Amino acid sequence: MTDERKTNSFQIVGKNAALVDAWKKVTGEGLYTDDFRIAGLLTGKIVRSTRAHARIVKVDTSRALAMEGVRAVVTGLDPGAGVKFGVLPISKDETALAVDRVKYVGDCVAAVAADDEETATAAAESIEVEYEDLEPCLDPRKALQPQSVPLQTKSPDGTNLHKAVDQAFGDVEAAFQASAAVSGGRYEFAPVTHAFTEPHCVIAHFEPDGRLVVISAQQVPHYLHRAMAEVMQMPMHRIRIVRPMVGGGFGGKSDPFPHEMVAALLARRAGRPVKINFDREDVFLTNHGRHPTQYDIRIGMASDGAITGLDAKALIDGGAWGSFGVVTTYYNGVLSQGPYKIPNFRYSGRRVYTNKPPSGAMRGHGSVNARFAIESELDRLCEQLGLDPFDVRKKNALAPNSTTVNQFRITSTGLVECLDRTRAASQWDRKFRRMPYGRGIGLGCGFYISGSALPIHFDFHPDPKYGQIPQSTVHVKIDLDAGVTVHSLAADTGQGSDTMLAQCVAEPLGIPLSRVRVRTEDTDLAPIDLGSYSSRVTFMAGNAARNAAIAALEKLQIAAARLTGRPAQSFIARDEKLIDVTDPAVAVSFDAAVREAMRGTGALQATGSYQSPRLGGSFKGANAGLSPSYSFQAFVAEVEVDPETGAVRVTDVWAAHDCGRALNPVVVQGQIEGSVHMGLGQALSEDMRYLKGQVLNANLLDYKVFTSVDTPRIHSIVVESIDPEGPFGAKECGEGALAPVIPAVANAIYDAVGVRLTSVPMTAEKILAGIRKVGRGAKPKLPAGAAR
Amino acid sequence: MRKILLRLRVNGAHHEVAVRPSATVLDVVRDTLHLTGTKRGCDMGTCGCCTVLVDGRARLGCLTLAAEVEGCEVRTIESLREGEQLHPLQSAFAECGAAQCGFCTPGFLMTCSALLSRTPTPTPEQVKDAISGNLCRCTGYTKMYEAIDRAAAQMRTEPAREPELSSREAVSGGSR
Amino acid sequence: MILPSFELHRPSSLAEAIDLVRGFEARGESYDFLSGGTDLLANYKCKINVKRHVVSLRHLPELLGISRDSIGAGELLWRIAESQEIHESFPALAKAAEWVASPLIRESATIGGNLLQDTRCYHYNQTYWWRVAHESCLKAEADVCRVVPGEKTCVATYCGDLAPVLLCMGASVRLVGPDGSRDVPLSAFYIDEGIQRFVKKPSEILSEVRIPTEARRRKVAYRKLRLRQSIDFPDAGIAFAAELSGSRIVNCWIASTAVGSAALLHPDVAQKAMGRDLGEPLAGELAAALVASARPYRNTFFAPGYRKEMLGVLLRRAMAEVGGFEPAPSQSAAG
Repeated sequence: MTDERKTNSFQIVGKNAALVDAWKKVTGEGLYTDDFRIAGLLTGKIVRSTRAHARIVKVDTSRALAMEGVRAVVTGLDPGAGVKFGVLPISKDETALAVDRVKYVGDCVAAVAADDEETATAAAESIEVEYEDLEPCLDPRKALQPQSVPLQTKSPDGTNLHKAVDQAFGDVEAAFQASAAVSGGRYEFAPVTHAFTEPHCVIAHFEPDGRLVVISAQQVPHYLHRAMAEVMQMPMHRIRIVRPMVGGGFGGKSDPFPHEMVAALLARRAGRPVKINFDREDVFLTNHGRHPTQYDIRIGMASDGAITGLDAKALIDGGAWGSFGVVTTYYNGVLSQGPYKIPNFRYSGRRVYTNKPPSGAMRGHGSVNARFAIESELDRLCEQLGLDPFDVRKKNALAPNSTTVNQFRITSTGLVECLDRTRAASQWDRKFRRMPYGRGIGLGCGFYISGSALPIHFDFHPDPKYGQIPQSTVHVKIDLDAGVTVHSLAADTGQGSDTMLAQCVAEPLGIPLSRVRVRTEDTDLAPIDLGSYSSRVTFMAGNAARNAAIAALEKLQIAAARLTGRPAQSFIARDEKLIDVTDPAVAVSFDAAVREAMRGTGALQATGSYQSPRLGGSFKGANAGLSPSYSFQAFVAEVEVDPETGAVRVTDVWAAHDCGRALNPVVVQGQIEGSVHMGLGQALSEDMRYLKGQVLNANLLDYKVFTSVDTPRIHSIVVESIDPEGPFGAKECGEGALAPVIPAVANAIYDAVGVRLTSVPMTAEKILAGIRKVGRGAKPKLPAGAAR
Repeated sequence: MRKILLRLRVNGAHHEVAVRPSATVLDVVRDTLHLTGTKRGCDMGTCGCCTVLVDGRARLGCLTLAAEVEGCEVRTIESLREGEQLHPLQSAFAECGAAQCGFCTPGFLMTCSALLSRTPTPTPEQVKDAISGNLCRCTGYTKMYEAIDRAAAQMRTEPAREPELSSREAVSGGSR
Repeated sequence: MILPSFELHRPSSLAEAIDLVRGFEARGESYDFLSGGTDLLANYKCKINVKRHVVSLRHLPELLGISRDSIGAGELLWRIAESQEIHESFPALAKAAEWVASPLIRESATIGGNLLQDTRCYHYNQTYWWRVAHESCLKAEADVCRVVPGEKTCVATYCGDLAPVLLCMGASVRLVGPDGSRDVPLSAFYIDEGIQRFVKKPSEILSEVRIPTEARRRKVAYRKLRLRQSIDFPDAGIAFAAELSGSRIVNCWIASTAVGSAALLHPDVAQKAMGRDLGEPLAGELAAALVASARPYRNTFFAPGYRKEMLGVLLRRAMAEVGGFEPAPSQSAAG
């Protein structure tokens, strides 16, 4: 094959395409988990802990068991209910139900399955749990001290420390000594959560032959498959995971969850299918949202604007369980290595357990909080040194084909183009420091992985001493109807990955999307894929799909050669034909090629896979943050601040994102726009509030997701750096676009009213207090050196 | 609690259903009539995923008792298209990328169809306001504006749809 | 979230509804009235104060009708917001109706329901499980207040948008019960206590809002504070009304919402404006007086100190709208 990444003569790739399942969504015919209708289906309800930290003395289920219509009751003593699981094999600390101790208000203690919701609710409420209260640990700072009863038994020194990461490259202190300016501060982050519109839902069902079928709103069916096998003590081949349409995930459906295990335990006990459909409150209590964090940072800068060093320290509040927390602890540091050259770097991260709903992975996992701190401090340094924020970021931008100090391999980068285009589109030079008091404009940049190069299970590790199973495998099947079926376990959660797979298969085969059907919902049908998280799907599953299509094409080329007597390699696939490039008059229809290829063999099968190259250094933690490619962003936000109320209205966001190649531009724009919306929530309005460890606003009225009238005009700018290894040059676009909007808004608020906020959400109250402190009318001045 | 017998007209068909008196429209369309296109997002009137039309007006299915819509024409997402013919809003939402995960989409579509049947040429501000009771976590609403504009333009050039719904009902709030 | 069971009654006339109530009272059975349902049913889903009987008022013709003199309690908020008559005569009332919650809520919610809306509190508007975990509160299953420990009266917040405007218009409500009907001025209707809330007896039905002719002479403005510009309840709201002779205030009214357990007039503050010119510095003076008198609690989204301070800003902006002047920067924010 020629390297088609460099060409622009695509027929499918790069063209706007409606999602292949869009019609199901607009007609309401798509089935989400709660839409399945199964005979004999029972309703499951979970009994949740009312205590933040307590020993379970007794769980009295007798009243529930005696109720008419109750079919099963399970507690932590049920077989399997106490088996430890967790998304990361190195930090399995969850159980389906609390065995002897509850760890947060909302922890799962028992569960019932009943004929209907009314009975199930009454039965769950009838279960009496006797507790012996223990001292809860709610403050992450106190979690670092020895505890009377540590949350997890493995905690070192009796503290609630979960993970410590310390990394240093170069000499930060010496670099700071030699810097023209060093700026730093403490940044604080309230907990935020995914707030997808579809609450978690699961159906578990034992088929008559004893096989377990689990239908669940999941981003990573494979991890659920593994965890379910361990908890239910069944071999994986006796379990089938079905992932129907998913109403948004954003990281919040990427762990294997206790409620999924509970549904299976109930189904086993009841001998009937059981559904657990969450109320909105359950969703908040399950959480796994972005970690509340305290982030201390210092950045040094030379007088010419070159970054000399970065020193960061993170205290990360993990809540009751590990989840993805080990990764979070690394990412808070290592993902600060981009998008700028940072010659000296030091990071110290501590993730602690507290008696709160667990934190986990959320869109932009691990990079978002650090970005707010870094981009804010860069603006401070620019101001101190009289430099222009755009120029400084451009000067420091990581170069293509370079290596960071912690040995990330940088291949493609469109950061400079992102900067140039947002600067122009936002009319920055006319606005920055030049608008009337109360109006401001600000810049923020970003950087994110296109999937993690190193998988979390050794089975998929590329080193020969481990499994070397590719992270993504795609099967393509072409049968007599000459339709192309794509099998993959990449989970479409609304981001459009099914459509992406269809495009990556259709392009090499020269066929329209209407010939392609994508089947990704079933572990029985699909080869393993590590699912939809860490923004990996386009890069990894996309490459696997493309490789599978190319393998299928080879068979069709041979068939075309047989039919025409021309050499196989002279055929290209285009317009539903295999065409001889040396003589375009010689062509075989796709259908004819398929029939010929099936001669003596039957349906065509082809496999493609993706395995990340071996990357990175050999120091401890070198694997964290490695990715075959990185995305880059530059965003500008324009705001109006009401100086009397402190209220901020973001009027416009110009969001330039380098996605390598936009396989489906309208979808890329959608990802950027959605990321901006979600980032604005963390910036301005969203905040999981707690009262003695109990979530105070576990509903969509009090947890403030922006409505249409709160959301600014979003101008997405798609930058295409054409990645050398991405499928058709593509890389991620689903996560990196969240982080930059937060510092962009913060820097814009500073431009508007001279108030520099260091904690999110940046509420009206904080801004008003800031205005009072700096004085009204304190509009920052344009630095002399930055005038254009 | 004993059930009550309700006579409901949903998507043009008559149904007799025996439900708890406290059953909501959402409960009945999803769990009794198995019209699962209407979604349960927050169940507390905040997200709008459960929006249905009652006599042509957009209503929250989760906070409306089924018993209260006896004698009314209830329409759910399943009735928005005519046979194989998608409603202009449906095709526009699909083509413009206005539906990502799709879970909020039926609610938005019902809200928008109510809007366009009353206001065929809404201003951008009217559109923004009209959808401000429906939450979307995927799109930032941006692509929806384009889709609604496109659908409105198409509907203005096409013969009026929804003939069985009289304009008198639609404007007089016949929901009572 | 399943609604708890109740018996639903759908009377078709006011008299029939009152008869039902008579029966419940005689048998000592609990009941609630249901109008739009956006408040009551949400609370019911949380198992908050669920009654045995629910009497729907949605089918009572007596509760309908919109004119300059009277608005039926069953009129939907969107109808009030879009009513030509209300727009022309009482634009602030139309605005307040248009600003309630979200468009979808306004499709169901009624003016009567808005006036009688239950008071709200972080410790109260929670699910049953949440309240159990929190050992509940005074207004629900317990006998202690969680906002002000030791408090024996409830400080839950009344968050209706229409009441302050109607207070400034001098409106009254008609209450119809088994013992006949009575009109109560809105100014004497609310009780600043989160459980009692108002003087309406449980057996009385609010049938209409009556607007006096003098309301037409008043210029009214309403301002509210909320984070999102849709969906959210007000975290503070101020209505200001004045009868002017030129720019001189002949008479004026100030009413607040969402800072206490009731929507209330502030005659002491308004008194300072009599005979004065409507403009700065009067606005600043009244704002300071209003802020000094307010005592919001920590039970809604914004912190009480902020809500208190914002009352002044809202009042100055409402006065500026009525007087047609630019409000000067507030003292507080000027530092």
